[in-house]
Amino acid sequence: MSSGGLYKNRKLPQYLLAVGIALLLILAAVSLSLGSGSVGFSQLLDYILLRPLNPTEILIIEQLRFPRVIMGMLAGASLALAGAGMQSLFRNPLADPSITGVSAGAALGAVLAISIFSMSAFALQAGAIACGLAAAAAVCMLGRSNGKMSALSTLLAGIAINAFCGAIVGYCMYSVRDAGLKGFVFWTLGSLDRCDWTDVISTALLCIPSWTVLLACAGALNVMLLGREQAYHTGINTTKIWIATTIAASVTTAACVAVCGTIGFVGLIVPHIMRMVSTPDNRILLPLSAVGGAALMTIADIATRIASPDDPIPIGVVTALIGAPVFITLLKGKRSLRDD
Amino acid sequence: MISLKNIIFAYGSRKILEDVSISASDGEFIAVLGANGAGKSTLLRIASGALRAKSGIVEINGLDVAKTAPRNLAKFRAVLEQESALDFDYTALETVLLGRYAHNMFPQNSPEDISLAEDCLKRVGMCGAENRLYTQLSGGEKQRIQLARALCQIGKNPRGKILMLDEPSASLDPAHAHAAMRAAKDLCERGAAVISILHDPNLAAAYATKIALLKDSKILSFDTPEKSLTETLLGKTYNAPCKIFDIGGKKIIYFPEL
Repeated sequence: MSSGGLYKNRKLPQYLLAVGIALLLILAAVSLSLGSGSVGFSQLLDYILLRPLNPTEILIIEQLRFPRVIMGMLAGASLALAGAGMQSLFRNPLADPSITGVSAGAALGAVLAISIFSMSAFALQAGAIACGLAAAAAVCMLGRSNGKMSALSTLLAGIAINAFCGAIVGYCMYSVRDAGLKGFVFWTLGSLDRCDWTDVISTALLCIPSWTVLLACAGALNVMLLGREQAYHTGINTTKIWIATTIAASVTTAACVAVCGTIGFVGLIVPHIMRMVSTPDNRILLPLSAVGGAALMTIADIATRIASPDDPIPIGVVTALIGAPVFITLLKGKRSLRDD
Repeated sequence: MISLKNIIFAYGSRKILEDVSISASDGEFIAVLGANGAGKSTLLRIASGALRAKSGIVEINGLDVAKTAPRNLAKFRAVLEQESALDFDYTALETVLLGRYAHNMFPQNSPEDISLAEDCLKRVGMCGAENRLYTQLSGGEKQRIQLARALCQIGKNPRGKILMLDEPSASLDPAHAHAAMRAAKDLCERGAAVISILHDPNLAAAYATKIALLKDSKILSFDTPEKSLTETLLGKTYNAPCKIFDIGGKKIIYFPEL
């Protein structure tokens, strides 16, 4: 935790951003050329260079590969941005959409939307956003003690909300039995297998305004790290920043959860790694985290398809396998979970 | 210029402030003294706008604090709180630059801001600490960085601005306590008003132009150091017998054991 704040090398973060975007494009190309079917890197190159391809290959690239890769990037960037925003807002490096219960709330909303209404993308995302926001509001209320947010109470509230939402999702899975079982399992594990262009477009329409709000709050979030009262003294309308950041982080998380399920730990570890290699300055940290999150999800997606090309393992399994040990390391490294 | 008129505040039925009025004009240094729990910090939080009084009015440069946007207020009022917890790895200079938020919201901090921040670090005796990580500083060093942040918020031209300090010397050694008070006094001399809670009446005697004594939620005295800092009034304020010695024209305030 000692390499942050490279004031002397202010240019470094800009290079990192450029390197990150370049890396992301390479990863996207790799990911686009992986998967079942006969489409590999040479066919992808032909497609990009507008050379003739047979209709099946075009169909695989346009309708299967592209939505999957873009959705992965959208989800990774969303979760990492939401995590970075929440960590600054809660002044707690352990906060992220899955730990605070927002992802679990959104998954519950999506499952309820399927059970009660229909399977349409709109109903799913609306349900996920409603329940994700409710979970965020609950964490904000339960995490307060004596009018201040407490790191410990926030994490405990997150555990409670995760357990509560998990129980209801579990009951839904149980009551549906075999027929739709795999559909529900996918929400609890996280997967990019089922997304199409409709999902990508509706998610992008929800995510991009939320990202804009989060990026616009970056300067204020820097000051929020001093604590709510000191931030007020420095010129921040703290209530406005709280509401804007919480809603934006919850909406962008829920929109992705509705499509690809709960994907844990991306929102936790990406901002943390970015903070270590660059700076806690949110004006730099937030865009870097978005690129880093998109890259991590693409890497995880590549891993799922290399490990098992014909029936990819759910991506949430991979991110959790990477994320859980990192989370434990962070927890051990944090000096104490004091209430402040 | 800041004025608090007839401030009343209570937590439930527990009265914290009863009809308190104080003011500070440009160039004045007001020290607020009082026993633990007398309501000093509450008074400062109401003055800064962070806490709303039950009744009474706080005006800074003619603006009602309760009705002014935080950002507009922060352009001419800076506050050093008693404790500032910052758990993320900002450097000292980045921490000081946070004080510029109200003046310069989103763009990368300008060269002028950076040279101002470096100057503020110099004024609190933290020259050369620019790139040290805040989380690795000692308690006293953190306190001085936070003071530098407040000075940075006040900016180059302190005329007509207000600096509020909540026990700025609490975790400082005697030399650095004087340096901190000197930095605040310097702002006064350049036209700012300072309100500072102090626990050492000797520091108040050395730097303040006016002293407010708070006793049991009320103002016991709000006057010049000569009139406020007497054995009787200080004895009453702290509920302890007080002796004042005159050594070479300087008042030394002493509380002998009971």
